Amino acid sequence: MITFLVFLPFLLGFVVVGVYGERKIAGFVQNRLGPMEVGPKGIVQTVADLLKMLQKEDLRPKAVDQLLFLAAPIIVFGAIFTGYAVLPLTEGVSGSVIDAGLFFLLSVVSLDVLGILLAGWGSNNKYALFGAMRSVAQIVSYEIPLGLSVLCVVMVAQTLDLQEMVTQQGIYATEESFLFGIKGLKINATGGFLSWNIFSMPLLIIAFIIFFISGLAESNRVPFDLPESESELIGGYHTEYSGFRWGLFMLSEYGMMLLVSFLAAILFFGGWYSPFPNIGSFELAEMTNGPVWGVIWLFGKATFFIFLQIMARWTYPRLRVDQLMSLSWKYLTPVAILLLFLIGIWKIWVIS
Amino acid sequence: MTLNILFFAFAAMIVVPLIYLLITKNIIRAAFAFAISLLGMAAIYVLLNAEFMAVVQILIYAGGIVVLLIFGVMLTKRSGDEGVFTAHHQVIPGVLVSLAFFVLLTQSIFDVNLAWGEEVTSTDQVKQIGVLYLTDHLIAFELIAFLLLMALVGAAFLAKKSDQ
Amino acid sequence: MSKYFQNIIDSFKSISGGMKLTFGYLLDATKSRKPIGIKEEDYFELDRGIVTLQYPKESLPVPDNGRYRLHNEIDDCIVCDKCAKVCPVDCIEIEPIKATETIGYTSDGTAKRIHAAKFDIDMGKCCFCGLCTTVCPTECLTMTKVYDFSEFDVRDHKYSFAEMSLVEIAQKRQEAEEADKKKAEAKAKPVAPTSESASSSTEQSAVKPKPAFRPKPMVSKPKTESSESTSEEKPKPKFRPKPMIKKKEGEESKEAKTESTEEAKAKPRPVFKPKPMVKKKSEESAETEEKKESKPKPVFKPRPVVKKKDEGYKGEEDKTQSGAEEKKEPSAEKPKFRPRPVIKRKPKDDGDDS
Ligand code: SF4
Ligand code: SF4
Repeated sequence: MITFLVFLPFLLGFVVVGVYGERKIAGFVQNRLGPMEVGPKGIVQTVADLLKMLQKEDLRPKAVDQLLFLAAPIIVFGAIFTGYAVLPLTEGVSGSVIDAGLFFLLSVVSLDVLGILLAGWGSNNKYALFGAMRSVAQIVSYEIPLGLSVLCVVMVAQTLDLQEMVTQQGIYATEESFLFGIKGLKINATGGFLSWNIFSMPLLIIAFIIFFISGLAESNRVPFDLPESESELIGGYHTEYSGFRWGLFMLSEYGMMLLVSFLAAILFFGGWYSPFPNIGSFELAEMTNGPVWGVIWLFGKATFFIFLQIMARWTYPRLRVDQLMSLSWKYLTPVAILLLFLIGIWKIWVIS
Repeated sequence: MTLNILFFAFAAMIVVPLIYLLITKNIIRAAFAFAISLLGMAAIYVLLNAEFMAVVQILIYAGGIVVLLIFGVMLTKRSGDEGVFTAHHQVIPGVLVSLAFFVLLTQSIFDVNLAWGEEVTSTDQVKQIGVLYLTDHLIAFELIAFLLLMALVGAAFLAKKSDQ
Repeated sequence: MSKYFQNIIDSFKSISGGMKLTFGYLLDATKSRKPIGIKEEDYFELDRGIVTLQYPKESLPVPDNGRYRLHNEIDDCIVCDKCAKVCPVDCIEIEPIKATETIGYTSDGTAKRIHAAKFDIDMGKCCFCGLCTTVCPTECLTMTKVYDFSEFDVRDHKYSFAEMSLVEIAQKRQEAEEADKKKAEAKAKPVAPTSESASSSTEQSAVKPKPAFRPKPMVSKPKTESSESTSEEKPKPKFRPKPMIKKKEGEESKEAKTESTEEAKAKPRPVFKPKPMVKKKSEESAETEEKKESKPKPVFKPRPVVKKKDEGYKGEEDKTQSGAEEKKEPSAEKPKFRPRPVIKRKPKDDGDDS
């Protein structure tokens, strides 16, 4: 329920703001202004675009496989949106409490591969099919480093429940947590950013980098946007789509971006915990934590990662296919495995 | 009651696509139907409080195997034909074999003593499974791991460029 | 193996380098370019920050000497057709009507003898090369700093500068026709002399050294040429016209050949002479300075009208060929050889060239 009441509106709102922000940031990075015409500073530009998109004719090419063609966007969006179900919203509140929440999220999200494949195949268009192939190859490859980096966090947290995982990263933790993974430095009472996973286990910084890169690849964002690569494939797997159905793909892409950002915030950066620590008797952490604060912090952190993703998009060029694959298989995966090993050792011998 | 309704709904979700799978000649659609029925199975697992199993079902079957299947079909598609179609070959032997299998399965289901055990609670499932893997079923676990590793090495070897 | 780690290090370096770059630009985005013109001191200082100008709302000031839309001050135009001829894309359309007498003077004192029934410039075709403004003898055709003149209909890009009404045009045209008729009649009776006088109704004033020279080239060529040629050679009036025509025909084919061959051929045949003239015309890309050069020459002009013309052309020709002075000499010498006008000249020219 919470998923539908909070995350769905937030996702829709986010897409509107996100697209606007993306265009604005792109403009600023390129010494331009971005949209300026619709509304003050172009603020309602995306809304106008959205209205335009919804009015578009729903084109269904004659040669497509109707069933697959129509089902594909729903599967893609459904798969990604289901991932939101297990996200903890704030202290003690999360969509559905599943023991294997993180695992569930990853597996469900991996289902969007199916939708993309169907979209590409159903379109009966070689560009779409190419895009789908690339997309699937890419997503399947990057799921491995993504899963491994997440596994690193799981090893540190010793749980698959996202809510529990967040709770451990701050002042409400029941288990002990240490600064920089050094046993002497107990920081349960201090909290704040110091008790986030990324600080309580420094090796996770590398895990985070791997996670972030794989997340970018999973959401088909630049620099891993080979499936869409407008310059070669016209639009990849959604070449044949228009109007609302295309909008669904768009929504899924942004949904995936947001999901990855939420996950990054939850896994590595303390989820809904405030970044402010208690300083002695000045209990900043206590003051800035709470159900309402939690939502703000979580969404704030997610927005920050979105911003990073957008910046990455406007900074880096697209990878070649072979570079893409060698990055995943030759660099990220071995490093992630090594990391998993190191963190296991650290966890067993240094901390406990 | 709701549980029952849900059960039958999900059962239908398993069975109907499978029947469609048997009828259709379009391989991609068949694979798609197969994926749906796998999801239905996952849903049944959830109804039985076996969340971990459900997740694994989705991850391995729906997310992995079906995709692999579709991928394989797509890559081996002969150029020039309209979609990928199959024909119904050897209908009678097929029906006979499946009937025999059906009888066998139903028989064994009734033979097995399906007593209702105590209801599984979903807390700490993962931990229990993990602990069991590394204690009671260690050999099986290691063997599977070894098998997978060999498969991986084999795949890498096959993919290697041959110099000859 | 070391390459492997080197790759990792390199990619980290380039990733962080790229991020630094874009973040720098992002931070710079607080600054924005002001709409100041190129003449401002700090025009080139504003190389950081947002460069977009929201055009219709703000725009860079254009210097007063901006070269954009053409404007013709029709009152000063003597309808010499130079601009239309020089235009590389043929976007100036002029329809001249010869007036029977001087119809006025431009602001710099040049006499106007031709009405402009039509003076259209198709700005849709114009490539803004500015050639037309440089050849304009009265400088009435100028480029203005107006650059925003987009239209919804491409036909609106045709700017008409002529100010004559249809009635006026019809009237003037009739007058011109009548004048022509008269001329023709006059021609029919006596052979050379009368025609000279008839055609020189315009030229009479031209007898004075300088001003005479000017208007002539501007007059639409074909007519005047023929009349001049007839008037020019006293001894054999009829002879002349022929070679002229030949020359014209021949010139195109000959032009293709290299100059050396031309020269060689040139000596024997008088026909050749006109060529330089024609060339001059086509090459006329004459810049204003060159025109000035040509002006000084007229000093030699006292001689028959036709001669002057040649010289004037030569002057223009100078750019491509040898210096102006050289030419003057031959022209000065020529008079002595007069009896055999055509042939003599040729050798001289050639000598000059070589
Ligand atoms: S060159 Fe100048 S004077 Fe001659 S026709 Fe053109 S605008 Fe008129
Ligand atoms: S500027 Fe150039 S192109 Fe334009 S009218 Fe003059 S000569 Fe022609």
